[in-house]
Amino acid sequence: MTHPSFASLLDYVEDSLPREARAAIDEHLAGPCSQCSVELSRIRAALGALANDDTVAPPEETLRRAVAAFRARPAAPPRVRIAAMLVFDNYRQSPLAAVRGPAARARQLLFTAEGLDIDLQIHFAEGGATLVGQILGGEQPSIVRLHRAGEVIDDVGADSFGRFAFRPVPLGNYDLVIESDSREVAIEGLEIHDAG
Amino acid sequence: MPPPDFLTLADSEIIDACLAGDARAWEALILRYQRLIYSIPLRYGLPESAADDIFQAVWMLLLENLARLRDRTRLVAWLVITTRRECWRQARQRRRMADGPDFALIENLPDDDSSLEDIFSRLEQLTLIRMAVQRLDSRCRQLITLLFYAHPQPSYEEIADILDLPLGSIGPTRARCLEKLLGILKSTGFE
Repeated sequence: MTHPSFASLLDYVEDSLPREARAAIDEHLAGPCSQCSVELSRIRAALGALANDDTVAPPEETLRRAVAAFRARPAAPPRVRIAAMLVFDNYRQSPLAAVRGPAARARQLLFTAEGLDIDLQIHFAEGGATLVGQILGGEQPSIVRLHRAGEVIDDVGADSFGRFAFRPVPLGNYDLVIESDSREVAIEGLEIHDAG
Repeated sequence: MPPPDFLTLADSEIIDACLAGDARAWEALILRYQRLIYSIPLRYGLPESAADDIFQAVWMLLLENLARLRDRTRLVAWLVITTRRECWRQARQRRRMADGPDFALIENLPDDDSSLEDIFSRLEQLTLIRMAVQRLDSRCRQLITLLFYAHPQPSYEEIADILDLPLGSIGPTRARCLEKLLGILKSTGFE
């Protein structure tokens, strides 16, 4: 099927086609031709927006002040990185202390770092896991990021109780970094492997 | 106009450049969304003096929160929400100070009014189109700007003079430039 050119569709929208050419496009559209119908809608929307753009630009001085704010911003102090220490791992308990059956499909870990405790639970499912956690103490975290091989693969915000969740997480080794304004607390080498 | 390389970059890439300390990226971001942010208070019926203050406040908030933006691909939504909050905050503040009539309109507008949502969607669409116009080649950008954005609107004769084009070629050039513009818009998901 030969479609009308863009120029013809534009003339059609602007009602500047001779009667015969207009009738030919009407017939083509009645085909039906969804491709040209979509193109027509897009042309109408764009022309309508171009012709009725009543947005207002700020005065030059207002713009200049906003641009200048970037150079005047205070330099951010370097964020301190603190490595969290593992204090509990249910997979490392003796077999007598923690018999692992079906319930041990969940791994529980507790980390600590300078006034901050991080409770992590890893729930395993087929080929992956859900990582849920809660941050207790410390300043309000802004974001929790999951890194793998040096790349951030996901980030989430913690709620007002410090809770966060990543799902699904493929099995592998990760760094979990909890960022706040002044510091970042890192759980390095977090193994998400189902050893249960 | 921002340096050409910023025109084609996604918001997330410009934010990365800002965070790396590139002042040109910050300027590009402001130029991209200046009309969107400045027009919202005016749509609320606020005076230009309030729109100036809100404009500054929104960019300062973005500067403070740039590193913490959760989803950098949704910067437009963040800007619209933040600007609306600033409109309400400044309206309340000024009302307490002056109790003037300027802010009666905003006080009477429900913030979840669907007609307001339509207005903000339309502002976002207009922003998208202006961004696409900026990405056109120089000749097309000038022509589309003269045809649609210039006030007062010049005649075809005046445009032919300004662009040094034969009068008879304005129409076909206009069609070619609109086709290029639609091509750019299509790639950005414009419907």
